[in-house]
Amino acid sequence: MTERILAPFSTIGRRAVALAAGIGRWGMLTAETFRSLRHVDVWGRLLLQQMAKIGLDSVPIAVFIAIFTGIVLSLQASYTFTGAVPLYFVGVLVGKTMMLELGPVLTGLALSGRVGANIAAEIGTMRVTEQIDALETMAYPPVAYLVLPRVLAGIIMFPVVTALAIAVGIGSGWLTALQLLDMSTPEFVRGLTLFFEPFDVTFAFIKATSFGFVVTTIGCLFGFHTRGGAEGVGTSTTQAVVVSSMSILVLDAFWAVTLL
Amino acid sequence: MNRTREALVGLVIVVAAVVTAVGVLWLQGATWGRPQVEMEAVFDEVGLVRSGNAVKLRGVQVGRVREITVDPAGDLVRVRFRIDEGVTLPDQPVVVLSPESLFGDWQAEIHPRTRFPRVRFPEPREADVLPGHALPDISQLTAAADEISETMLVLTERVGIAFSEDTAENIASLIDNIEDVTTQLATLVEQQAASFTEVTDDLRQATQGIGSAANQARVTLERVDGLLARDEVESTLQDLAGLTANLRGLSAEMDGTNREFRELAAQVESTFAKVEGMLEVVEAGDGSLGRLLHDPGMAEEMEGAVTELQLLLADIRENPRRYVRLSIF
Repeated sequence: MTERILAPFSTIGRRAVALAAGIGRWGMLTAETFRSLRHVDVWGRLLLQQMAKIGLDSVPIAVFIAIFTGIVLSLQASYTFTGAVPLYFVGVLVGKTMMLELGPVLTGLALSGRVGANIAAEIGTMRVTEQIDALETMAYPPVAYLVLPRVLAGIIMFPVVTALAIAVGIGSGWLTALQLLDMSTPEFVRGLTLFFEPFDVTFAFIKATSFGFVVTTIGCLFGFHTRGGAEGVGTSTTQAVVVSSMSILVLDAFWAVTLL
Repeated sequence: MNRTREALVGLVIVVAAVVTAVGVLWLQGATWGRPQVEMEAVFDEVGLVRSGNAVKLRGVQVGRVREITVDPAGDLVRVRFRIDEGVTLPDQPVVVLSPESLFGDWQAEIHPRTRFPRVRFPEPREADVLPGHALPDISQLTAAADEISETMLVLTERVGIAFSEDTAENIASLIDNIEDVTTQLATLVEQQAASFTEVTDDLRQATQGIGSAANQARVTLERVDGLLARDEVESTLQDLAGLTANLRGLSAEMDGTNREFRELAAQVESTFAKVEGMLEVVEAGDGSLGRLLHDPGMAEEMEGAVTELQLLLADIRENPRRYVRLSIF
């Protein structure tokens, strides 16, 4: 009877402790990552490779998402504004939404699935096959070798991919407005420039950078603490994707509250 | 990692950087080398204008707002903007900030000052700075309309309170009273109309009388003109002058007579004083007259003497030669 009553509280307590432990491990890994900056000879030669893997290989999926986001935004904006708001506000909505929200967030979510999962699976596999243990045995810094290049690549390449996604999204929205909404280029550009603030771009880059950092560190964290065999790797990968996606949405709200 | 892949990474980064930089500059309204001149205007307040808003002349965009700052003195707002080089501004240019649409986008328009004769523009201290004014935006107009609607609501409520059933009955009775008064007024007007007709007739007669009198006056004036024409007036005036001279002499004589009269009055006054003294003596019974008045015997003697004197006078009239003898030589 007593156990039944206490069971929900035990579950909540256990999960709270696990959450706190996870945050603590993430903090320790982050601190170790920054400490590993001194091992330039280790992570330096791997950085470009990770930039290509995280950034360059993610451009197609980011552009693909951005193209259809721009099209949908343009059409939905015209559908919403018809008869009430001038159509040049389609430009306002496409530009502002792509820069402030959908560009960084959709790119981040897409990359959290692709990059986060990849990192978690890669490092998790190394963990379960004891390759990381071997590195530690050889006194080779595993964080500088495995984590730091990925984190730096994520911090650098997420804004790059996001910038391209924003540009492509606005471009596709523009073309949609021209072809499907009978709008003219001056009309669309008027809306695009109407409420533009350079801070909008800064805001997008701040978000993209933070998303890159969170996605890569969480992927590395779950990979580093993988237990068991292939199943453990799969679990870590799934958890990495879920947690990094949730973190992106939380961070999105955090930056909106903090900076806007 | 092969070199192609490295190059692709570099290319993606460069492309992203270029796209970002060019996009930001383009969206900010960069002129891409087109020559522009920078100008400044001062305002009391700037509404919802922001950096990047269009600057227009006669409806055509000629530049963009660059910077908005509060004057160090704190009483003005300074707006710096760039317009295309070679744009000719109107005489006495002013900058008017106004909503470009109902959706919060504003613009700065350059107009001649004469177009806004009632607007009070702030006077800039510098010669090359334009005066400016911000028109009220839709929210201010809406607030004013809201205030008016609230006032109307209060007014309507008050009218509702004032216009109760009792008020309606009072108004109905008032209308009845007004109808009675109107009827009485109509009767009065009819009566007054009759009186007025009589007065008008009298007035017409009086007018006719005045007309005949005027005719007579005209005839008289014609006669006077005739008299004037015959110089009879001149002789009359001469006679009047003589008469005036006589009157003046008579007046002088009257002055002398007056003087003599005053002297005579003084003499009479002294005589009266003497007579009064005599009367006092007489009343006291002193003297002959006093005794005569107070003594009966003496009065009788006096009467006798008077009688005798009357007889004597009668005899004198009858026989004057007995008493008077005239001899010239």
